[in-house]
Amino acid sequence: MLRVIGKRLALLVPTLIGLSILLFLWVRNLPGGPATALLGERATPEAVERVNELYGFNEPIIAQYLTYMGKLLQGDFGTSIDTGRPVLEEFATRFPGTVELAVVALIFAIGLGIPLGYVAARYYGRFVDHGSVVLSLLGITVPVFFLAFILKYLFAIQWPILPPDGRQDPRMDATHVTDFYVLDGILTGEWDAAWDAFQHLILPGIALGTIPLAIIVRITRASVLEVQNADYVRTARAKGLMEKTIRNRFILRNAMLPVVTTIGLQTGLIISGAVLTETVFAFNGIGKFLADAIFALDYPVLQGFIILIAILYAVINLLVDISYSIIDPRVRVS
Amino acid sequence: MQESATPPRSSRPAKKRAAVVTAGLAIGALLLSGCVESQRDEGTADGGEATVDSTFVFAASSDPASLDPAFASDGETFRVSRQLFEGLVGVEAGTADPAPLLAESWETSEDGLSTTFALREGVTFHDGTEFNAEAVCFNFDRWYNWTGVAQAPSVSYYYNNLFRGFADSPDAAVYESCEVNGDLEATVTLAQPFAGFIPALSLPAFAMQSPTALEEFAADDIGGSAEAPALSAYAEGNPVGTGPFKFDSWSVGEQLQLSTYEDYWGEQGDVETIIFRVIDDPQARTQALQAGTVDGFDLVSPADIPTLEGEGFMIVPRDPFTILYLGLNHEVEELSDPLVREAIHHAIDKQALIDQTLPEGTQLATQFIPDVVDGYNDEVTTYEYDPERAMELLEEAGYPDGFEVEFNYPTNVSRPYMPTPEQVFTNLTDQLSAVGITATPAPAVWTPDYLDNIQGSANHGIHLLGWTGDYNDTDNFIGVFFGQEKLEFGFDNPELFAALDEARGMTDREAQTAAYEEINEQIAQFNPAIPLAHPAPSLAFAPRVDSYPASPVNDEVFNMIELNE
Amino acid sequence: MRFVDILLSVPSLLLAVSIAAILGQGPYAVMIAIGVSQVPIFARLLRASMLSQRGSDYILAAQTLGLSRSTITMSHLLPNSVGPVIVQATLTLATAVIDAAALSFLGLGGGRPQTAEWGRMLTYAQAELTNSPQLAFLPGICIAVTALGFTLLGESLRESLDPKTRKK
Repeated sequence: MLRVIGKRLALLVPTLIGLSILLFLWVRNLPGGPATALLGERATPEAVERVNELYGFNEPIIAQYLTYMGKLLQGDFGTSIDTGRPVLEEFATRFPGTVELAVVALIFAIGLGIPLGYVAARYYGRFVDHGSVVLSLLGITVPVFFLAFILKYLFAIQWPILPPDGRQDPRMDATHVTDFYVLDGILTGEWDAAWDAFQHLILPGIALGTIPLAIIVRITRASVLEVQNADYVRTARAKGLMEKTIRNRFILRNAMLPVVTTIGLQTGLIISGAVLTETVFAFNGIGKFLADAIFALDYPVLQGFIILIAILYAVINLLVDISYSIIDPRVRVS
Repeated sequence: MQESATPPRSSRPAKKRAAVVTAGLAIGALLLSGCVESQRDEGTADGGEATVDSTFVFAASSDPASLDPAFASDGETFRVSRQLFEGLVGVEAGTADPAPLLAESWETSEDGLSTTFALREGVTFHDGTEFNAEAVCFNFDRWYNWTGVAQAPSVSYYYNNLFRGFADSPDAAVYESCEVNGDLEATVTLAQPFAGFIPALSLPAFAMQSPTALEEFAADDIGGSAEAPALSAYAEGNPVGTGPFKFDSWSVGEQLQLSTYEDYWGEQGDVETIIFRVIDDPQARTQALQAGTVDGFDLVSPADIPTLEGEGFMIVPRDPFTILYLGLNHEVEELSDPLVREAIHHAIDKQALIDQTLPEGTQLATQFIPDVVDGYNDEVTTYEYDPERAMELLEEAGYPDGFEVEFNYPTNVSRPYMPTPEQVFTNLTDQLSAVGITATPAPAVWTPDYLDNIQGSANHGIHLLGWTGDYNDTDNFIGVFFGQEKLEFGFDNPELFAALDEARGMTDREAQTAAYEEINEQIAQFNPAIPLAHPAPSLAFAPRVDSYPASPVNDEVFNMIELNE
Repeated sequence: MRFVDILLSVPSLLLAVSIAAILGQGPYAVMIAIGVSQVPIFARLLRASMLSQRGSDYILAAQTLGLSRSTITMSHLLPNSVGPVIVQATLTLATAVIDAAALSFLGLGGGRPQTAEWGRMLTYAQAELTNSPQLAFLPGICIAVTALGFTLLGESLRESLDPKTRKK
């Protein structure tokens, strides 16, 4: 299997090179260019010229690209124009927040989605089933940022039971070790800090987890329905196995296969959703920073973040494929 | 993971493995929790006599760009800098006029070139070092001797703009030298007259910083990569000034914390800890105030003011130090005709515009500077709202049926002088169409499209733009707008350019003020663009805030905040 | 296909955002951005669908009859593989409505501000959320209902095209 993983990772290389070229061309062709973005209201032509010269925007594009790639290979993703910090550092400081958020969203989606889909399939055609189908349809069709707004409006403003923004209360005196705030609170024994950080994850987590939830409900339902009527289930029943055994060992396990794949595919959705959700909840993660970078035309950040996200995306899908082969002995990664 | 020759047969191993992993993680976490220590000071939570919660949380719209104000030009950086640093010259409370701060007094020589500052005694930097004449000269020489990236106009914006040259380009430089005469007296000599020298020193960009810390944390070492300037260690987390607050911590993108400097020479005030919480969405800032996570924020949206006031929040308007104008591109044939420009001016009901789209406290503009700025002319020629007259003028100019013109405006942006450009656009379009001028909408995103188009090309008609002043300097307003031929307005008026150039170089303040009054009248006659309003930006605060030292030039230091609980 | 893989390696909303940022504020920017960002999905889908049809008996028969490659592809392979694509297209309509709203929300909506567009209405309504929440709720509900309609259409299309799930 190691060889297979190696091969998959090797295939990633040409994809990333292609991606970096596309991104590079894209960014250099942005209207206006970065100099104006830097200077603002009072950009005189001379000032723009000086900035272009200083930052090397005047060099031929191929030279600029080669310089960029050379640095990239040394792990230097450049420096953010907006904040003056290395792009990699910006990514690293914000990554834990997004991971925490994604984990809560996935726990919400999986924890609620699989039982709901399963129950819907078991009571196929009855009220519970229709209810869950309607709910999952709604979940797919409500825009993420709209849902985020409603949640925030209802549960942070109208009935302020949860915090409206950020990752932790500003007044919370918390020690940060790993930058995973919930984990930090647990590690240092600052339970109030951990609880506070967790509360900040609930609303954005729900907003972010709703689409994956809806999809998981549907896939689980469809897949359980299909497995329920499979021959081997009938055989198991005929053999007189206990209903519990049949459900747990035969139906659920086999029905989980497509669900696991779906969960892997949700990462893309979660990253896209994070851009919107984090913006609404002023949550300091990579999604919000990316949205800011779009506004500010902070192109070292745009380039670096999109490449890092692509790598992440590929690695997650690889992990999903591997776990797939663990759950299903018939499937071997190849 | 190893490749196994025979796939596992039954379902169990996977599940068990998961359980083992979970248990392992849990044990690991427990073990770790022994090693990682909480850095919390257990006993400090406001014990004793403190009756107010001395922590003040302010919602900032972004992180500061840098903690070194010398390399900054944006409002959020300056807001933080003003707590940490002080300049030689301060600002008279509630006005835009210079006042003593670290310098108790100053004296300027006859020729206006050298100024001797008498420094305040007993002032120390946060690192314990003394503030004295040597520190003053160290700072002036530091700015002057910048090299490389530090000289870029985008990096050291204000020094570039006001002092123009550096040690390696002395011909352009305004600054010449600084001399230490004793511990508490320093003389700064300029190479050319600069009437705005004293007021300029009130900018946070020229605040006094600790020479020891600047050197220790390599403040000028900002070369970094060629792509963009990288922050120095000083600017990232070691700023040292003389202000009432000292730097605590900064978690980028989230919050920045300052705390009282015990040995501050002045008043300490109610606030002991300031937290600047980063919330970039304006609506989210309002909501954070409503939810109680922050105590205040800046630039309240006019639409939210009634709601917030109704809910018991305090709205503090600043005296306007802004100008919003309707720019006219003289390259457009119709607009090059003075009669048409006059007609447009008469067609606009500025008061209606202010009532309908701009925040409370906004003043009607008759000229391009707010009234607190030197050179404001009370008797300037005005163009009253008179649609009849406007139509007559249009007919006289040869456009009896009006004409069509492109109307450029930015979208999705909020500036201190223009909270909602779309509303201003809609309002003005209606007013113009009432006299027969059809405005074709040409919206664009603020940066870079809009600014590029307006300032970098002649391809626009009428447009919305404005400016927020930095300090009391007339040239900072009208000199910027009309001091030279610009693509934004597209006119060439050598007489006006010369007048502005001459006024800028004057050393006598009174003569300069008189000159600017005259220039304002000259501009009003020429009518190159239409000053609309001086919008007043407002702040909003939680009920526990009793007072806030609002300043037209944002010189707001939080030790002056009064809290009641 | 490598090119498609490159595009697939970026989440589709990010792709749309990138394209919209290049195209600027033109009225067609959003349409193109969303269209292009969906290309990889359709390319993948049609490829998979055609590959699975390639080994079918009728294709073999056509090949034995000596039909030209292009005839086989155009008149046999393509019509038989296009089913899932049509279904996906209907479902994508829902996604497109939502993505367009999301682009508006991120300030990349394109067109004029006074153009009536739900995503933009929703975005502008945020500023008034505390005073008049209905301004935000109504366009939000319109977006959701439209997307729901397209999804239901796609679902029923899928069911009627797929014999396995067709109701008896």
